[in-house]
Amino acid sequence: MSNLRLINETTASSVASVSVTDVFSSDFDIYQITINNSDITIKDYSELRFINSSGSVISASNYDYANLEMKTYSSFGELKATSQTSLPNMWYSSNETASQGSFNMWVFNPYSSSSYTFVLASNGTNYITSFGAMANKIIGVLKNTSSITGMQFFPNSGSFDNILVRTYGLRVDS
Amino acid sequence: MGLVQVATNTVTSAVSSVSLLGITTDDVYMVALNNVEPVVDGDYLRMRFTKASDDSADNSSNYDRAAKELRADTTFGDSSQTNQDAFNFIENGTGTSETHNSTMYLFNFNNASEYSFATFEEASVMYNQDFRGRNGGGVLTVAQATNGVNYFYPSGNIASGTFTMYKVV
Repeated sequence: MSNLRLINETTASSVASVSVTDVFSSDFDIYQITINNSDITIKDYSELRFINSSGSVISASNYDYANLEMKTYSSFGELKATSQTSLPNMWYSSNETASQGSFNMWVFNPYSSSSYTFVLASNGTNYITSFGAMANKIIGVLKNTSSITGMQFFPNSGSFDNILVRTYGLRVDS
Repeated sequence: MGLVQVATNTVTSAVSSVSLLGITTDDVYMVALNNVEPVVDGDYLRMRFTKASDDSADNSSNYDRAAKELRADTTFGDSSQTNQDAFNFIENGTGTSETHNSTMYLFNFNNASEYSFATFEEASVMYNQDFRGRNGGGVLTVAQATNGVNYFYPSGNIASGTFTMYKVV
């Protein structure tokens, strides 16, 4: 049996944000998140906030991130900031049906109440008409030792036409 | 993709190094590290491959690596070395969550006629709370069978952390 276990599958349509709740627990320390079939109404990045064990979306200025933009149409770019209210630039979607977003993320230690929550993410090449393709490598951290149990994704602007989020736990057998 | 656990070690009291052994097939293997912390503030995690001949960590000066260092606090950097005796990662610390977290993939380890390769993606909080991570890869330019990985902090011990290796099936 695989140590990578599917925990949750969340789909949504025509929403301003999607919350994936009660997926992080003491059962796992590391999780893999995949997002595909992601259309948004406006070409833009989508953002991530974590949800604590009280069910509150964390929007305090405790997120640091760095994003390497690898483009076919211009020089590579660097997006980075500290003390943000979210992880702001997680994946880029075009608003065209044939150019949906793609995203893969590892989340470390979310449920722990003594550790920050760390993120490693990448997305496959997203195609933006009249520009070209772009891929991203991303790191992120929530500098808060709250116990995290879920995630909220939302576009910088516009809303999701469609989105499919899968959450997997990576089991460690002692 | 499935992942089948091969080896794991959770450090709760200080140790000088951690080895994960068990690569015996030509499959790709994955390593996940979380909450790895040094005893000495400012120390940086290092990685070697273990020799299938005797399980010892190869400390020959044949490690080459290249990575983009992503930084939340400043301009990104290029990090590369050749002919070193191990791979280096970002400095960690002994303050709150100043830890190393990463995923790595291992290639061609079981093949005695090939070099052994690794890719790595890292997210680390440093000893001063800056947040950085190296994305890249490396190679041990010795044609030999390797059967695992070894981690250590050069200035002191590993205080804590979980190290796990999986076979990709």
